[in-house]
Amino acid sequence: MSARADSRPVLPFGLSLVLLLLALPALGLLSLALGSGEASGVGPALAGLAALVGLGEPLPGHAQTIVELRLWRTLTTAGVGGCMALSGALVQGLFRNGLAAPSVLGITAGASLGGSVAIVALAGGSTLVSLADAGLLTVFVPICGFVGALLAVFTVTLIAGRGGRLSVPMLLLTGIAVNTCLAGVLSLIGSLALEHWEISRALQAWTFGTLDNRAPLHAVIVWWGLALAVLAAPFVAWELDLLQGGEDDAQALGVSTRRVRLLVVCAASLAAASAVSVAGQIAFIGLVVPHLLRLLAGRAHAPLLCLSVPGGAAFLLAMELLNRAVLGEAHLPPGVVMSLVGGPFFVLLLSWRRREVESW
Amino acid sequence: MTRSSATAAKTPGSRATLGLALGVVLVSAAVSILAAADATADAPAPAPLSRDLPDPGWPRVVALPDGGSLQLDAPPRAVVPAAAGCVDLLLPLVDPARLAALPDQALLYSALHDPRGAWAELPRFDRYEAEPLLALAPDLVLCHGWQAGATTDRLREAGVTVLVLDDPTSWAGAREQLLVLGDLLGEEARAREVVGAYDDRVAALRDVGQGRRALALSFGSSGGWLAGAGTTNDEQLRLVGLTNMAAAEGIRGHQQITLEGLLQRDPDVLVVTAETRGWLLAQGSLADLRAVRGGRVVSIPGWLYTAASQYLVDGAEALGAALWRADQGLPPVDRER
Repeated sequence: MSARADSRPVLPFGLSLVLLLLALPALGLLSLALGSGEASGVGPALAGLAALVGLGEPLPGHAQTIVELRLWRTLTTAGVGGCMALSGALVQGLFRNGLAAPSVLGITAGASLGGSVAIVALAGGSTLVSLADAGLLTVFVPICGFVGALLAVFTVTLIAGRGGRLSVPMLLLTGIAVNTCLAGVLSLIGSLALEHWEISRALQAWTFGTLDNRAPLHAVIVWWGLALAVLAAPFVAWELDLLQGGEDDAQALGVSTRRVRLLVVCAASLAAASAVSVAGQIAFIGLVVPHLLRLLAGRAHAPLLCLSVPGGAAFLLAMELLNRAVLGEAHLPPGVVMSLVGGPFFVLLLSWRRREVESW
Repeated sequence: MTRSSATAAKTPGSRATLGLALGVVLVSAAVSILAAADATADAPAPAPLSRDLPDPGWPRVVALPDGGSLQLDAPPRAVVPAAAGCVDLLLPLVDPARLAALPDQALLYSALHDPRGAWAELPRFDRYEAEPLLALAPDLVLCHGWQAGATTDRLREAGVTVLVLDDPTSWAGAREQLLVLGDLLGEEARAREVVGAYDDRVAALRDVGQGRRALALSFGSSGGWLAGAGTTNDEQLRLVGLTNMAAAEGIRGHQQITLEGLLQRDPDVLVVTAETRGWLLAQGSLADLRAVRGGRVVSIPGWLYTAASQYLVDGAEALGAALWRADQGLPPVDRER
């Protein structure tokens, strides 16, 4: 099997980037325009945006508010897609395995546990809506999710890195073990809350993920996380390419593998934690998008990481547009949509890479 | 993807996998669509309102609303209600001495939120599971259809009589269940007295809504939920003369709603719990809603908002009173209980 054989990009990097950068605002605009009532259509969406930045009169009735609500949802959606795709590309590069995803490091399970603990602990013996009244849930669930994700990654890296060496197999196995533990605790919480329908419903909604009713806080969290994670990309892209040939070779070529691993784990964790904390669990973006982008741009990490942000953003925006265009107000949670798409894609992936997987 | 794996993808085996994957997507989509379609299916016709008195004495055979029947050898003396709604139905019919235990849920969602005296001393259980329930030696267990069927099976196998109730979504449904329970418990006279009193209260409800367009909804960390046709909230709106916009749109059951959906509907009246009211009024994006501007975001206590029993009538009364206060320009009386 030739690693070079599929490294030739279908499109030049520049053209891929331009296409994605053109697609992104177009999809964003469609996301703002899609809906019913007076705020539907590209015209009102553009007018609402113009009014938002002081270049026109606000739309009449509730249309202006609706455009603003859609704007926060669109920005959050794009940020979540970008974060998950970037995180996936980084993790797959680190593990030298295209089947790895951010969840391997315990990020998703950690964020889920953090958010779930916040929901249950804050709910206490009262009803959840009283917390919403105080505005606590809107703030605390994402924050606890974020902290939970980082704690999970910290635990994984701490255990895997004992003795001063952060080995990839140890990271993978520790991640699996921590994921299993966290899943057990999550199940325990779900089981204890089973008879309390409001708490159960809130936990379940958190598990499915949601992009509805997003506020500026959600967009700010996810875009800050993405911005910080992107900063690491230039410092690891070339090194990740060299790591694909083996750690010894990379070290011989002057790569500080320990520094690269730490940077990649931190950046991938930050990106994924930001995404999961504002939107709940949305599986498979981190797995699917890097593969689609490799088909487009080849295996080199510099273009891959560069394209993953607009690529992931465009992918999730497109999936959400499709979801809302087909099902309207009864649209499915994004976690469900992505699982329905990502699951079959994973099967295809295994099929395409059967020989490689069988050689493990 | 490498060249060799690309070639492999074109083999019959890979095509079969591709077909399988596409099949999974199509089946998943079909299941989702069928599930969505099911939510809009027509609800069963309401139960008949009249009911003959059972034959006096024991053993007796009691006819059930679903056409079946239940035979009891003696009046039950160790009744276990397994859900909050079942507790609510029992409250006006029996004394606490006839209950073997209460579910923990009752303290959150039933009228028995502040048990006193003998009610407070009843044993409690937190889950509908056969083992702890059998330890209570019940002679009648009341549960809802959504509770674990396996537990119901184990209890019946152990010789316990179990009555599975539907969640009543209207006064007519709750009325029928009260009468059935009265017959089962040997409290038929008391049940008819309670039903008669509630009938009078329903008849006395005033048309304070005057056909105004209303929505009943709750908001929490699981998002917003709108009450459509076939819900207790729809019945409460109807009883006070409000028009449920969600039901008029054809929505059945509870459906998720976004803030955008709320703005687009812009109802005259919003019916919520006290907690949701505070949250809604704190949302700047909703400040221009007709109901917010007009001071007609009216709240009822959470346990009445979710009551699936005769207490939905109490909820309608609380709603009528809250709407009347709003119409008079009086400040709301927010109370959780």
